[in-house]
Amino acid sequence: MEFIVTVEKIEDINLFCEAGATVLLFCDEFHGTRAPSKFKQEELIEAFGKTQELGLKVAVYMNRIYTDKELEQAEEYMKFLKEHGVAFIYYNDPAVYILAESLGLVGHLVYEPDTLMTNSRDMQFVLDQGIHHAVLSTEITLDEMKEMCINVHGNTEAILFGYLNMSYSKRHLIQNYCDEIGADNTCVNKMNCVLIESTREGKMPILEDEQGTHIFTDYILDAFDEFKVLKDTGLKSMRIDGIFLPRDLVVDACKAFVMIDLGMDSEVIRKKFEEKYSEYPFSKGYMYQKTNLVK
Amino acid sequence: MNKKIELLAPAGDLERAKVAIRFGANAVYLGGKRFSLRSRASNFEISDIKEACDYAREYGAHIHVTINIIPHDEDFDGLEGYLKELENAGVTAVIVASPTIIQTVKKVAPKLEVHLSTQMSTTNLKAIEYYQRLGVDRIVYARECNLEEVCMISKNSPVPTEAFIHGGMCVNYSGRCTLSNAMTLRDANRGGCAQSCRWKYHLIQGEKEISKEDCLFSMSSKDLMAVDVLYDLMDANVASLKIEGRMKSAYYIASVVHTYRKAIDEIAQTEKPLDAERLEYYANELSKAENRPTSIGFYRGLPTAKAHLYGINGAGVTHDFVGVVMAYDQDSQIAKVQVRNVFGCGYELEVFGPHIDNEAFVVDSIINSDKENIEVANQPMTIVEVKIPFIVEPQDLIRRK
Repeated sequence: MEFIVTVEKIEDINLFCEAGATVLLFCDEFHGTRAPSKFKQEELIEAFGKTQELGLKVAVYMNRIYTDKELEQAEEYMKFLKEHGVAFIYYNDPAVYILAESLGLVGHLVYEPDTLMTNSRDMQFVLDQGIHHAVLSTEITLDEMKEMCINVHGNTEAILFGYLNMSYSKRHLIQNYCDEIGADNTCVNKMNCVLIESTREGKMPILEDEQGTHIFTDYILDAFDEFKVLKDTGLKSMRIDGIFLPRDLVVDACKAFVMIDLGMDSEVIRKKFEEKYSEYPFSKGYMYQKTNLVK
Repeated sequence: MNKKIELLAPAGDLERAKVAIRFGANAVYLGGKRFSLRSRASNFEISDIKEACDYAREYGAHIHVTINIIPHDEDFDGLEGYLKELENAGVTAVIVASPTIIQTVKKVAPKLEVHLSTQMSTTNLKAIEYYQRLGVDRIVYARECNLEEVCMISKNSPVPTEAFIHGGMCVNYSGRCTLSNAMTLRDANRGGCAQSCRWKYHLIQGEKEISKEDCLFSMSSKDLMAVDVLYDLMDANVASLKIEGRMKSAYYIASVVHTYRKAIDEIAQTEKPLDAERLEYYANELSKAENRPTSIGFYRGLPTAKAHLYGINGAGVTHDFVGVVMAYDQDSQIAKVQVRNVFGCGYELEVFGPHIDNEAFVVDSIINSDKENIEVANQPMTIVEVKIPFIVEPQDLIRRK
């Protein structure tokens, strides 16, 4: 089982290693988005080196939806990633696959098209193209995830902890709104903004960056109990996404999953965890909730 | 320049499909009861689809069918049989958003063209190269592409391209949004989108509210209206121009299709961009349909605040649809009109249709089905007789300012 954790700061790498992470996931300033932080190229080099020295694998987000002009930079970036021994490249735009072919990187690709990986057949299709693995969409149920893990020949990953991304707009929605009401936009690249629907109470983190605007669930998925079930059905990788979350909580989450993997009782661990972080809105997300209504 | 560019219109039912074709659409896209987004606007049984295909053929037009859900494992049942039925019905193309469905079409219904849905967010030539290998016959652009990108790609694409020109716009990348799932348990990618993006939200940073109570944060995009860039799209050899709106009325379809038909034909004839006067004319014509407020979308760059709706989401309708011509007697100049909305003696009305442009007249008398003179026609779907002092045709539409 690969334990994949997103990283906010280079100084946290040791902690995640000690917590049992096997893959650390980084994000640069241009090609990736929806990460706890973005690293400059020289910082990435340092982070990659430190991670690899500890015997962990390096992964990067390359989940931008590209224009043709931007693809020149994408190719250069992929050469950089190859040069530095990056194990996994998370991509969204199929253009990245085409570039990876010419650079001999297809086996390092991880397809993560957010909402589009909802069935076994489409997942098998992309896996058969030679990529390393693909990431299950988060809006499917545990039963559907199990079915996909059983049906698919190849590696699968599920995000099992963290706020879940719900929408991605290329528009700068906060900037436009601030322009409309005549306010300064102090939210760009800030992790402390939330939306609250006018008739509800849940706080949905919202992030505006150079690539647009991203909105997340008003809860933190904690699938401690479901982790073993999925592992038993063939899940090969699980991710803890630390975006919007404090480091200590993310480290503890990683330790908790590793302990469950070692055979400890998930219910006991989950209760202890939720008790320690009782101010956070944990949820099972869509694990037991279908969203197939049309009216 | 692609003078024969396809004008592709939406239809939520058979009546609207026929209206779109009659008013000048080269192709109509519609949804069956399964496998389609906008499921509330997907009312077509196979028999309806066959009738639409037969009708389209008479006009040299085509029918495309949306199979654009992002499927879950449970959604594939019956797909192969359905595809074969579509092929047998005479459908030209299916609009698809799943590699598995693309492959299935190619295997079981090879006469069907496969058009890649905007749900797949295609924004560059390398992505098109990827989908071309799957056998895709046409790419529908992501609505996030700007004009320069669309033109460059269309000039260089190995497969034909399709661009949106009018109608509602997802504020997010289409298909990359589960707001509706989270807030209503309705799957946006399986036909249940509740348009939660258009709701009102408080925007908070830290402990401080940024939003204003009288104008809360919202993510409601104005509709697209791209008559300004029609020339560029035609000049770039875009294959098809798409109007969004399977939920829209027959009157809306007729008005919008009719206007774009005329604009496209004018550009094809003159081979020049529309001048300011003609652009204004066409924009006015489009405003006669029940649009929400419109903008140019991404074609001129990232949408600003002006492209969004924050307060009132209402439409700026300039005209009301009041009736449909059912028959016309040239000798007496009496038209039988099916009433759709109220009108009365003394009202100035306007007729438009496939062969008539905005001819106006004043109603001087109205006779109901009991042969009685009435002052006001206010019973929808009843037939009344009205004198129209110029030739009109059955199915022409009547509106009032």
